Amino acid sequence: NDSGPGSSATQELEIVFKLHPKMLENKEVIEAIKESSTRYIKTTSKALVEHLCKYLAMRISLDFSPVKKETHTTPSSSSGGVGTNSTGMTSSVKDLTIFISPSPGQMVELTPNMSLKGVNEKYWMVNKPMEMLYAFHRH
Amino acid sequence: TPKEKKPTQSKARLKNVDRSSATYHSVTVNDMTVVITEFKPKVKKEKKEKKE
Repeated sequence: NDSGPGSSATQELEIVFKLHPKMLENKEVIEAIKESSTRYIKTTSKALVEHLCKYLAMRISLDFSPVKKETHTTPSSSSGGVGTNSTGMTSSVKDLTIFISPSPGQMVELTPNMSLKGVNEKYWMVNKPMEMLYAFHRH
Repeated sequence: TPKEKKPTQSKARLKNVDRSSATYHSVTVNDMTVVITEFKPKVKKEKKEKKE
């Protein structure tokens, strides 16, 4: 059992992404992504904030596309998926920023090169899934 | 002897998500690829409406 407390091994982190409150003023955004504005993901603690930014930008841009493509991959086709599309950042979503709220009323913008392990240790000391907020601009 | 309660596994596990319909996506940044698993929220069972 190498996943005991204090283990420095790579672990998986589960995160809830919610739309940043300032985005709620943008009706176009709300209309496009209303059902999927909250996202539930799991990834390795080695992942960088930039991985999450890239992923979210791609997924959100699909919500904005005129013809919504169902790009969901099944567990059996885990290799590949939309993430392998290196042009993901050229989507209609730009400047996607992720924030974390370590305490009520406090919001910290996360730097892209920070690992999730670092984020977890620095800002999220509680035993529950990390909660992050995201905001973006559109082209 | 009283049974010891097992500690809850994975304290930071998401609740109310449907793990059976998870989707997997690989994302690469600076030659580092990670897999991101996305879950859908569990669908709430709708109460049957009474027809009048």
